[in-house]
Amino acid sequence: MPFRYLRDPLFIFCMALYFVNRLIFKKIWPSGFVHEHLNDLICIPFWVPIMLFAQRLVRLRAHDDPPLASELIIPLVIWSFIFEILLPATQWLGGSFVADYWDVFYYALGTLVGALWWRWWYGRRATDAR
Amino acid sequence: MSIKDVMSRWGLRVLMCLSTSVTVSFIALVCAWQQYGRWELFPWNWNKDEKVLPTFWEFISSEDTAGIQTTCLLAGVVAFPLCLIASSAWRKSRAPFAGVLLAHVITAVFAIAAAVWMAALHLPSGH
Repeated sequence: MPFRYLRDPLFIFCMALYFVNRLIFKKIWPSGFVHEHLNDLICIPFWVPIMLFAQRLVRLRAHDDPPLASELIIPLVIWSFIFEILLPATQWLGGSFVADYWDVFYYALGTLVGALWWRWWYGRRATDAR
Repeated sequence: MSIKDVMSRWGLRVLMCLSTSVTVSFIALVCAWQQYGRWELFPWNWNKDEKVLPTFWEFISSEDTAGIQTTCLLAGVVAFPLCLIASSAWRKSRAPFAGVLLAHVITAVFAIAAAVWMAALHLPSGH
């Protein structure tokens, strides 16, 4: 089964979770995980399908397979570096980015969950289709 | 299956996983070092009259940072199976090296472009 990009169930779940967090969870809990780390946890499962969709749209992705190893690892490394080292150190965006090593952990954890999900979901569908 | 086959099948994957783990841990560690230098987060590290950032070596050799370093190491440990799982469908590619490299460069360019969007939207909350 081809990767569904913006109709991928994990992407849709992460998008819904982002809005639920923003509109509900943050009002229920005044501080803690939902304020500091939930967005980091869903960052890669949310943004990678968008990134791959854009690549596919401009025909720079030649297939519709679920995200490959490099398509998960490269964003993980680049985004961790940009958001947790480069922007906090340079203050290029007015000092609104703060380094937090826990964010890197949650980026990696979110990527791991995404990789497991995509392997299971699209692997299962491929088996069903046979 | 001979040892040579196993090595050829698993060697590159394990090497990739290790290098991903080390890279992620190192980024987390540098990030923690930067964060450690912020006196409002770690006020006990600072003589507020002389706000001197500890060197990276001082940071990693300090006993106070053992917990932080463990978390950074954990980030790398999480990245190891991620790489192993995501690369499970690897097969010997017939694409030329230049083609594979170009695909990775394209992914990197799109990742940077996405980061610009994210920074504009500020979705990975900077707290």
